[in-house]
Amino acid sequence: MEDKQILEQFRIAETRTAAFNALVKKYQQKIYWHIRKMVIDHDDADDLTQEVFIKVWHNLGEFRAEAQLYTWLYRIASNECLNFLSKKKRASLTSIDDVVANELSQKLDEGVLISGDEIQIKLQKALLRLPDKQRLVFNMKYYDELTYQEISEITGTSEGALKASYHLAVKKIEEYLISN
Amino acid sequence: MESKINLQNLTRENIFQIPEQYFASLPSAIQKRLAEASNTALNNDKPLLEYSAIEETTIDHIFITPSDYFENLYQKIQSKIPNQSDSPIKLNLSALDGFESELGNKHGHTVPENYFETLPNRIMARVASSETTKSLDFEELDNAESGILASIPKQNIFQIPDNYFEKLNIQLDEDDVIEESTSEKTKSIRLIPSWVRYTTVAAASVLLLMTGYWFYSSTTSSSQECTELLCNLTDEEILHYLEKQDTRLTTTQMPAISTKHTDSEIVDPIDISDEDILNAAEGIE
Repeated sequence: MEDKQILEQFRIAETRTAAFNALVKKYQQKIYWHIRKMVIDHDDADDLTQEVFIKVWHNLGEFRAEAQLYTWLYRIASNECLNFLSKKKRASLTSIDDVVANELSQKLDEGVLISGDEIQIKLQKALLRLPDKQRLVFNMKYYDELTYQEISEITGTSEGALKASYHLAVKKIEEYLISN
Repeated sequence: MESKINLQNLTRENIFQIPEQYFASLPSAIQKRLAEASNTALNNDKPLLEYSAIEETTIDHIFITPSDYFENLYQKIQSKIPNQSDSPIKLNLSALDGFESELGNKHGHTVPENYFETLPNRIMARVASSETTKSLDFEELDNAESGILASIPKQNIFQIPDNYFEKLNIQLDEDDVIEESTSEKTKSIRLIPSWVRYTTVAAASVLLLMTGYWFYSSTTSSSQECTELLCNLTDEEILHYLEKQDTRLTTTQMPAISTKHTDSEIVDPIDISDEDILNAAEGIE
């Protein structure tokens, strides 16, 4: 179902639930994987994915299609991820970012619902060493292959800054991979 | 009371300083000046009156160089620059090897294996990295994945439980059903008898009507007074008054064009500014 059709049907009370189901089916995987790459743990990703769609349910009526629907969804999901990680850092009772990064890194080592060879795990660990916002941008560019323009719409950051951020992230990741 | 300065008690110090290597470079500086002066005089085709002293004591007479000095100078310089064909940034590895062994022998320090062999590359990498942060080449930025990262296949290493997405739908459906059923089937319990409610509504309506009538009559009378006063004013007086007033609308006076939010404002703003994202690029700790 096209986005336009989903939005039209969502505005009608009788077809609202059906339209929302269509929206979830269409975008759930994109949103889940975007979140999962940020929070690593499946259960956390599951909670956040549901939170995102519940938020969408409550706010889709006000969505005026100025932006693409998927960029709006990505925006909500990104926000949820950053808030979640921020809360996690606060809950760790320390200002050191490494604590959360190490915790997530440990989850990679535990290997629950994780596959992949050594280099892939190492790449994920390198990503965890990046600041969350930079990691978010990296994931959208590298894995989701979104354009800088799309990422710019999602994050509200200029394309130039995104390019620079991505370029530096790649450098840092490669440095990590060489030195580890 | 003035005290006399006794020179004998003062130490003899030279308070004047000279530039570094001044005396070492002085002869060549003089030689250069002399040569310049000589050339200028010749070029100007002057009688060389002011350079008579130079003419009398030519450069050759003042400074003597070994025979064939200048002929061999270039070769000497070349012989002191090893590996001249290499880039000036690259290090002379053979010289470093000697230095390393010398350090190792005399001071007991050692370096990691292949340290000096890899040092030039590491230095160059650092130089390139620092240049990147100074000036960003956007064409280069577009091709960021050209190194190790490009050689790693893009792979999703994360797994999900069986039928996760199917269950996700069901969960959301249940949530919706719960929400809708609660909104549709909400039962209200009457705590107040119906006759009390009707009486209250009637009393409130009467009070509202009375207040409305009073407000209408008072504003009508005041507006009538205003109309009468304005009728007494001439057009010129009104125009003069308007000219003196600032008739531009203030933001509080302006009618709201749209009270609706933009799509990006519907949910919490993600708020990643340019500065934010570039500061975040500090990198791997």
